[in-house]
Amino acid sequence: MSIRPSLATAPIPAVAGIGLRFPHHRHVIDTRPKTAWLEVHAENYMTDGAPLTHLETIRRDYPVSLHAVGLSLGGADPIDADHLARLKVLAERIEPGLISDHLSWSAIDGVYLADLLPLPYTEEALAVVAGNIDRVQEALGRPILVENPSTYLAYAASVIGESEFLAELALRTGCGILCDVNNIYVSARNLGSDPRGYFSALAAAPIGEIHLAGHAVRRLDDGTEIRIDDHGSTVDPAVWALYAEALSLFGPVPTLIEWDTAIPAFSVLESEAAQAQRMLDRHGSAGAAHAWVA
Amino acid sequence: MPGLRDHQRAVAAALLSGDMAAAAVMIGGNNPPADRLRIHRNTMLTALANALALTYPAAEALVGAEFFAQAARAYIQAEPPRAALLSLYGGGFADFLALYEPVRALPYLADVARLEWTVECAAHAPAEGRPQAEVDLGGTRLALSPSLKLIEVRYPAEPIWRAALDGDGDALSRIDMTHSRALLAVWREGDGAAVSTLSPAAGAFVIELLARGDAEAAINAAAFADPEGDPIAAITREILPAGFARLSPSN
Repeated sequence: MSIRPSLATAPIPAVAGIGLRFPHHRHVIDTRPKTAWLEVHAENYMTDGAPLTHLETIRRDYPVSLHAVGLSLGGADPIDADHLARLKVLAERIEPGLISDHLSWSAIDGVYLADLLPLPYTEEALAVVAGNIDRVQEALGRPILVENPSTYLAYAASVIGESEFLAELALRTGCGILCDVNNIYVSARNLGSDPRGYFSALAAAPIGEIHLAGHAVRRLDDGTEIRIDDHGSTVDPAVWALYAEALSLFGPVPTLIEWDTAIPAFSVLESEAAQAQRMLDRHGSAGAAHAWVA
Repeated sequence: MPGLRDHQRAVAAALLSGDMAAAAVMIGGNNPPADRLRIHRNTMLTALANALALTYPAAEALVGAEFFAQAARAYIQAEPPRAALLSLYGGGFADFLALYEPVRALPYLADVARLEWTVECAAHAPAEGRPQAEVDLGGTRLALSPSLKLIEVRYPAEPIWRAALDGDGDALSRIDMTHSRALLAVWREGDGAAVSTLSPAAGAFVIELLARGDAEAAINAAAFADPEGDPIAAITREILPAGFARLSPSN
């Protein structure tokens, strides 16, 4: 029996947390590391298998955030009702502090493409995504966070800037923004835009969480350098610098270290989180609950 | 002007077929969209092939990683997922392998894959909960685990599966790979699933219990399945100590 008070609906504090993957479940359960909060990919816990059993144990000791990758918020198809129902059941069992998904699409005509695909930023897309977010928030009975994607492609049809698009979604639906600083940097480098310009449109939007991760640098056949958001290394120095700018604009925000491929020892994630925490401390993070409450 | 659905259909067709031209024209813009769409195709194929490899590790060991990746790609293009739940993607892979020309020389492969899919489903089933059948066997109450699944194979899938997972080439070479029909029991155990091969009598007993939940009918079915054998001995040996059986004194 846990001696701690119930963490039901425990908010995610404005401090550094760690993205939890299956290889670290046992370590977290057995050693209870001093991590303020954890985030998991919701889709990995949607069956009755061992991962869910582990997560229920872990949840007794840590606030948990659910990060979904499968709602396809930008899809022209209606939200998959079965998938939404699975997320709702999981949220009822885990009582997460935050629930999030991405500004992207993954399915069309009922086929799931297992990737976060970019949208043309048009008025039509804005209406579609806003409608989908409304549907999800209504079903879950709470607002969600929507994350800016990492992109390699920009549609000629786009007429709205991505950060303006996100800010407008927040206005229309009441959702919050999950600001992925690595994604801003990766997209800006891939598309040749200025990452700093991104923040100004978001300054007035409700920023509920920040993501930090590593990315890879590859070269296309034509010699173009491309940055791939593979979450498989330490955070790039340029992304840390951009994170400092984000903190000075947004104030302290719950910040997650994500690492999803070539997963290292948990201590490596802890040392990345400690780096984020040192920067949060300089911006007045006192471990208090963040102002944006889901 | 193409709408959102047109864009998404074009991109989906490109990702699944590998033919980027039409989608690239539709996306336009200043970047080379075909090359960049290929990054997304690669991400999609890698994610789905990894999901299949996690579910079918023995099949992968039997054919080798490179060949498996090729078969996985062919399957992904034939049957892409219909839901964003990758742990349960690939239920049709065994049937696909059964008709997949390049593995014709390995007729047992589809059965091993069928077993692996059943193992995956059992591992994601609840370990506790309402039993599937519960009967009184003269003083002892027998309940069957809610996760228990039966699967009939035509080749010795269980020993092949074990040897492949252990990477034990010697054990594999000693298995008689010829046709031999068997009934396997698969159930959730701890963080994973367990498998056992049932004799004809024990198999008939479980099938009948699951179908009608009647102990007497189940014992009769066991006797009928093996007229020369001793059905009570088979049940005592294979069912009562099994991980999928819960025993308690009856009132």
